[in-house]
Amino acid sequence: MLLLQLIVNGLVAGAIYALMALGFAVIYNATRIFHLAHGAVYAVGGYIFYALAIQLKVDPLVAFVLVVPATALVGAAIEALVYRPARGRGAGLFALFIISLGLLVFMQNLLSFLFGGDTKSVWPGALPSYELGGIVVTPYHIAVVVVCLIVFPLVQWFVTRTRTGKAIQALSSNRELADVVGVDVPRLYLVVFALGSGLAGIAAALLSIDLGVNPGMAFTVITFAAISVIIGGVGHLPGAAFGGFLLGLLQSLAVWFLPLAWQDVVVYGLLFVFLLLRPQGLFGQRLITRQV
Amino acid sequence: MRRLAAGGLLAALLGVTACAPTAGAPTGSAPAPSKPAPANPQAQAPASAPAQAPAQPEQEPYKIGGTFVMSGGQAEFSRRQLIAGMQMAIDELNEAGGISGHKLASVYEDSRGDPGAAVAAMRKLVEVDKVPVMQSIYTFIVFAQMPVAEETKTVVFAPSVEHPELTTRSQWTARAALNSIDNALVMADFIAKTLGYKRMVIIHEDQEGVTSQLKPFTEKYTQELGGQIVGQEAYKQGDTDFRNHIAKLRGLNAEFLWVIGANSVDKPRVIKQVRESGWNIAVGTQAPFEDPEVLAVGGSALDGVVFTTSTFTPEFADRFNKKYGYPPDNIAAKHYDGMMITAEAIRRGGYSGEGIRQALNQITEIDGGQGKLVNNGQREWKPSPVFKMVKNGQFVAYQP
Repeated sequence: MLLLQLIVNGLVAGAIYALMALGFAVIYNATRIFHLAHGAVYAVGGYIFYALAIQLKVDPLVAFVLVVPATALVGAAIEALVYRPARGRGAGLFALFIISLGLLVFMQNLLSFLFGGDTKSVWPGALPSYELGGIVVTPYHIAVVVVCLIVFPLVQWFVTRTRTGKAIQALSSNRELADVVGVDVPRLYLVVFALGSGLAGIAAALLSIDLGVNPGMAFTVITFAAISVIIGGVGHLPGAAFGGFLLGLLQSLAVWFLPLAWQDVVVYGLLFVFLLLRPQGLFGQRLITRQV
Repeated sequence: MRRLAAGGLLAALLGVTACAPTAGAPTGSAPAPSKPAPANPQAQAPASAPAQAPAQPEQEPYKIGGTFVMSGGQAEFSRRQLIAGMQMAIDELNEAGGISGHKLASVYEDSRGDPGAAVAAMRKLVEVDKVPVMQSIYTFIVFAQMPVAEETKTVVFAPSVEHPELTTRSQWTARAALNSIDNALVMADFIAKTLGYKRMVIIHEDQEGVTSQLKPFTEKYTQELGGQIVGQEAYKQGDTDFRNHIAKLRGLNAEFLWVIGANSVDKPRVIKQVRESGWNIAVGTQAPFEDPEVLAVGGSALDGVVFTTSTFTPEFADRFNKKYGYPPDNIAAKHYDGMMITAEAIRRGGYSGEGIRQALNQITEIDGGQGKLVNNGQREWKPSPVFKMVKNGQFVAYQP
C-alpha cells in the first residue's frame, strides 16, 4: 500500500512540475529565452488566486479560472515591456537570461512588499481526505488529476491543430524560416508568453490550495521545471511534461529505499546522468531526426 | 548588451537586498517607544565595574548588529518575532535614557539563511558599522560566524540557538535559552511519563541544531524510559511537501509523532498534511511554534498538538502585544532578553567586544521577558521549560 501511496503522491507532485515545465518549454522552444522569471509569474499567479479567493471572496472556482488570463497577461507584459525592448537594444540570450534572473528576484521582493513575507493560507487547516482502497487522497489530488486531464490534451490540440499552434511549432523549429514565410514573430512571442504563463497560473492556483502562498514559492518549482525540460528533451513539449511527471515519480519512489532527505539528490543525480549520457533528453533525439 | 547584463545583475542584487518590511515592522531606526520597562539585572557588580556616566544624549549612538533571515519564506517570522523582540528591548532602553548617555541603534543585515551570506553580513557589521556585539540565529549560521567573531573580537549573542556546543566552541557566543539537550530530555519525560506513549516516530529538520538533540532524546526515551522509536525521517528547511514522510511512517503503528524543526512554519505544514492523510496520531512539537502564522498555516489541524517551550512573563506579552498588535512567541522573549543582557554587559564592561565578553560572565541573573534567568557560568541564561498545547485555535497551557 505504501508503494501505491508513493506513486499517487509522486504523480501529483509531478503534475505540478509538468504544468510548469510545459509552460517553460513553450516559451523556451519558441524564443530560446531561459525564462527564469516564469517562476515569478507562477508566484504572482498564486497571489492573484489568494487575493481573489480569500481577500475578495470570489468563488474559488471562478478565481481559479480568472488566474489563467491574469498570469497570461503578466507573461505577455514581461515580453512586451522587458524582453522586447531589451532585444531591440541588442541584448543577446545571455543578457536576457540575466534580466530574467533579476526580474525573478525583483518580483519576489515586490510580492513580499505588497503582501508581507509570511505564508498566506488559502485553506487553513487540513483538507478533507478520502480513502480509496487504502490510498488517501484529498480534493487537491483530485483537482490536480482533473485539471491535467483537461489541460494537457488541450495544449496538445492547440499546438498541433490550430494555425497559431502550428506557427509556434514553425517558430520553434526555425525562427528565420518562420519569418521568411510570413509568420508574425513579435505577435507570436506574445502568444507563447501568454500561453506558457497561463499554464504557470494553473499550477500556482492548484498548489496554493494545498500549501498557501509565500514570496519564496518560485525557486524550487522553477528549478524543477527547468530540470524536467532537460530530462524530457529540449524542444519537445510532451517530453517536458513527461519529464515533470518522471521527476515527481522518481522523487517519491526514492523514498522506498532511501531516507527522505535524499529526495532532491535523486533529482539532481538524474539531471547529472542525463547531462552526461543523454544531454538531448529522453525525446530530444527524435526531434533532431525529424528536423534533419 | 553588456550594459543590459549589468543592469540585470544590479536588479537582482537590489532585489535580494531590498526586502522591505511591511506595516508595523520593527526597524533599525527605533520606532515609537512603548512603555519603558527594562529588564532588571541583579548581578553582583564587581568593584571595578565602570560607573554609569551622566546622560549625554548628543553622544554617538552605540550600534548593535543583527543578522537575521530577512528575505525569502522566513523573513516574516524574523521580522515578527526575532527582530521585534530585539528592537523592543532597544526601544525600551532608549526610552530609559540609553547606556551611559549613548542611545542604542540597531543595524540589521540579511543572512539569507545562508552561512556564506551570513559571514559577509557579519563582516559588514563589524568592519563598516563597527559593531562590537550582534545577535544572530540558527546553529549553522552562528557556527559559520564563530571564526569571524574570534578574529574580530565580536560577541555573537545567539539568544535562541540551542546547539549544546554553542558556548563551548567559542568564548564569543552567548544565549538566553535552554539548550537542545535540556529540551530533548524534558520532552522524553513528557512523552513517556505524562502522556504515557511508548512507541513513537519522529519527523525532524536536517539541521545540526535540531539533530543534536536526537541522540540524548533517543538514549533517555529508549534506555531509561523503555520507549521505542520505530521510525524517523528528515526534511530540509524550505521543504513543503511532507506526504512521503507521512506515508512512510504511517504504517509503523506509532502512538506519538514528534515534529521538530528550527523555524515555525514547517511544523504546522507537516501536521496539516498528517491530518490530511487521515492519520489520527497524537502529535508533539517544540518552540518556536507560538506564532500567529503557525495558526494561519495549520488551522484546526493543530488542535490538540502539545509543545515544549519556555515561559515568558504576562507583562512582557502585554507590552509586546501593545507595541506590535500581535502576541509574542517565546523566541521573541529570548531575543529581547539577549539584548537586555547585552546592554547590561555594555554598562559594566564598556562598548568593546572584549569588555562585553568579560562582563557577560559577571551577570549572574536577570529578570527578563522570560522571567528570572540564571547564568550557568558559560554565558547561558536558562529559562524554565513549560508545556503548552493548541486548543480551539489558541495556544494554552497544557491540559491533560
